[in-house]
Amino acid sequence: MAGELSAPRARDLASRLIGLGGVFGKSLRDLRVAALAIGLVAGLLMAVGGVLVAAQFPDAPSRIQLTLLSVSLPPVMAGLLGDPSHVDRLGGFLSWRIGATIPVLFSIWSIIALSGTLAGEASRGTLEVVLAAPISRRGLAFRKAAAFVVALALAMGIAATLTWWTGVAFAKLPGDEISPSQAFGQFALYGVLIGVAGAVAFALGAFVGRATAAGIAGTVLFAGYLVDGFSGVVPLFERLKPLSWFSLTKLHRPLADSWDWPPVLILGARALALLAVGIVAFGLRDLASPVRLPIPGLPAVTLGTRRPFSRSFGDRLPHALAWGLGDALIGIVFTLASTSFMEAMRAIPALGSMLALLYPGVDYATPGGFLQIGVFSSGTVLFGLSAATAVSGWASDESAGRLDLVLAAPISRVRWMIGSGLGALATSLVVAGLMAAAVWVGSVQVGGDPWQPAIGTLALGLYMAALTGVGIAVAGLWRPGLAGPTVIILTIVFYLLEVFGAALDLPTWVLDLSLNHHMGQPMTGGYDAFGLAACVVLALGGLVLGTWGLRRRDLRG
Amino acid sequence: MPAIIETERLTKSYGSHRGIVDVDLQIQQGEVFGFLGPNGAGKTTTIRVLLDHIRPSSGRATVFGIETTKDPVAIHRRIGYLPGEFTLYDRLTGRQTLEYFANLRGGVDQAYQRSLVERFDLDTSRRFKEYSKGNKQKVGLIIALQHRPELLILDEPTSGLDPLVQQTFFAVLREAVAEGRTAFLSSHVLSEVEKTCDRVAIIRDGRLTRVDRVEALRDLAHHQVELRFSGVVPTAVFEAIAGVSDVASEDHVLRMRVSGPITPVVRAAAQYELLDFVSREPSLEETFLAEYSDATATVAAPTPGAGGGR
Repeated sequence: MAGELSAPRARDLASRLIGLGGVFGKSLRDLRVAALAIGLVAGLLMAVGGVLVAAQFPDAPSRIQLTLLSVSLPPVMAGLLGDPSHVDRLGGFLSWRIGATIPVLFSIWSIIALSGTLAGEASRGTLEVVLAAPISRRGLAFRKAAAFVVALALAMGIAATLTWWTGVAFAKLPGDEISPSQAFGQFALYGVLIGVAGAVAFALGAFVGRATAAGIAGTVLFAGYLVDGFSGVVPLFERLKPLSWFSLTKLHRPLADSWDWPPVLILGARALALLAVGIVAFGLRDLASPVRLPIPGLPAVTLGTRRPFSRSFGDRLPHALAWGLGDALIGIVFTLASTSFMEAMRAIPALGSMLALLYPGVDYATPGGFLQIGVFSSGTVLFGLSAATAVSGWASDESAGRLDLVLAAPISRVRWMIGSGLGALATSLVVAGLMAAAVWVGSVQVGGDPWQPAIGTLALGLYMAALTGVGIAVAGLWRPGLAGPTVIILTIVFYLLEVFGAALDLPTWVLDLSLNHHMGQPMTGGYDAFGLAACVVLALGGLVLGTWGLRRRDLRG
Repeated sequence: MPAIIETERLTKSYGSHRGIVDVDLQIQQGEVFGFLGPNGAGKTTTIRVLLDHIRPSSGRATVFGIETTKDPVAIHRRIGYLPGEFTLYDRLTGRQTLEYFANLRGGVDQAYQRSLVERFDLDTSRRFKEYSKGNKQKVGLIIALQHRPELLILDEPTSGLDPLVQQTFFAVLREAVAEGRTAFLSSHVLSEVEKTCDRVAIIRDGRLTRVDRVEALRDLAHHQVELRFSGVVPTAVFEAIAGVSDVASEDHVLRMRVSGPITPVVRAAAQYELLDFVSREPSLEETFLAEYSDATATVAAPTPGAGGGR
């Protein structure tokens, strides 16, 4: 045979940078949508903050009042929002009010992406094929890590640009302007904070596998955030504070004209070092052979091999326990901190009026009011994300092809949907139950009524069930892959509408679209019967709709 | 006797994408029916329609005389199914996985389940995610077989299995058929289809191109004939014979493709000084490959009482 080999087509620069021209380009291509979304969401959050300031604090007297109130916040609030600095300026307010949550929120993406890029792909077997190409393991790991760094820089660049534009568009008073160096300096900090969380997962991934690495990195992230936030009220946390990267970089707030680059650079160097550890370890260790950590497993009886209900519940249970324990930690910390909050409320009566602006409609005269902000309001986000986890796992039965085998057994689609759907819904009881138990214990410790806040916390379980029901409906009616993302989007939209909607003077009918708006104040004993009923209807109605949908459509293959 | 599986003008399209078109099949009790076709030809689509995992765009399919879209549960009660590609629950061990699928059927004969585990040499104490591809396939096969179904629908059943386990699988399949059960299996491994199946269907681009007994398919196929003469022989003599095509001459050797009886070629060759005569009987694989370039559908009716003999 005298065949003529064609010369490989020269890979153009564009496809090597972002495309199928190489590992770096392919990795960046895979990350581009997420990076764009994160940049836009972070930037829009800042823009919403700009609108808020322009609407609520348009003149000098209101800014002075804002400053006075912000500096008089109790340690527990000051810790979570950060030290107020120049909050009378737009940049200072954004850094204080909005900026505190950005690194925590988007670190989750960083952890998921960097734990999955090598460890996750290795366990799926993708890398077996890629590494059969003439590329070294270290070279591959380096390119993937580099692509993530570029994607993160891109996201932060977009957000910084939008923040700079926010200063241009919504500046009301002298000093409100935000310079490009301030915007980019602030988002350089966020980039480093987000990157280091992912780098922890990346470094550990080669040793312990994706899930464990992500779990450890997530724990380090939230523990660091809580330790930093509550160091003022929990003496133990004060001692642990130097370990938190949030504490390390606390003085660098360019939007508030506070610059402290050295800790940021040191943290950045640590993140790069962690990435280097991951790259080297990936080169040295066997592919997809993680060290099994002695994590105690659940009893075999919890796996559920009897019926679709028990199987679905058993499969979701480890995630539900993880979310529940994390929520329980937050619940108990907030409950223990409620006493100091009440002391601050008594000492500074004006605090209530400021909080009414930030969290409208909450009665702050009781510890329940504080728990309504600290546990319930932020809890909706956590429980929404728990719902997304539950519904994504449930939907994977179909998207991963398990359903093809299950439904070849003599079990109807309706029976499977109802059984497995109820199993997924039941996980909300586990998550809410654990958090409620923690709130109960915390309330007993501080000498308050333990039952009211504990029962109020259970309302979050209904909220989670409602979102799970919506996810089930989406999966059943359309496709399983849409369920998780839909729940995440709803969670964020509901939260933003609830927190910023009133301040932005949005019409009532828009505010009413948020389920959060109908949840009442369960931590203070104020239940909204309509909202709770709506949760039940969404949970069970979603299951019915999803069942109807799956009954009439083809299974995804 | 009604057919176990029957499809009439079965068509499934995915929007603008072709699935299967006008597929007509009849599979009788006790048959081992092979379903052959290149990747993407429509084998899995046909199987998923039979299970009611997807619904036909037009036409109909019945299994045990029950229309697939009307009462799939009644069908599933009597079948065992192995998908071509599948994944199961990572955290469950092999034993727990088998137990779950047994529970979904209201229980199975534990002794038979154990015998299958032993014959397939499966370590059921390991988690599903820890299994190799072959061991995962064993789990799938045991799930399909453990309740002694009347009809086995197996998509690429030997994929990933080592030759010894393949032998075990064929032995179990033979036993099932000897008990009067029916098997419908898709495969790329033509030699195993040739050894195992009573009848074979070949599907290409979503359409059945041939359905026949394995032997008939082989008989219908062309012969590749090579004639070596002592001197030059005019090719026109052979080209004129009906059924002869692709005549090629190289020195004193003639090569040709012969469809149908070979006697006229032998007679023509005898007029010259013939040194050697080679006629190769085609394998099913060659027949299968020949179908790629010949899409004319030829569907032979099933032989009454077919099957049971393999």
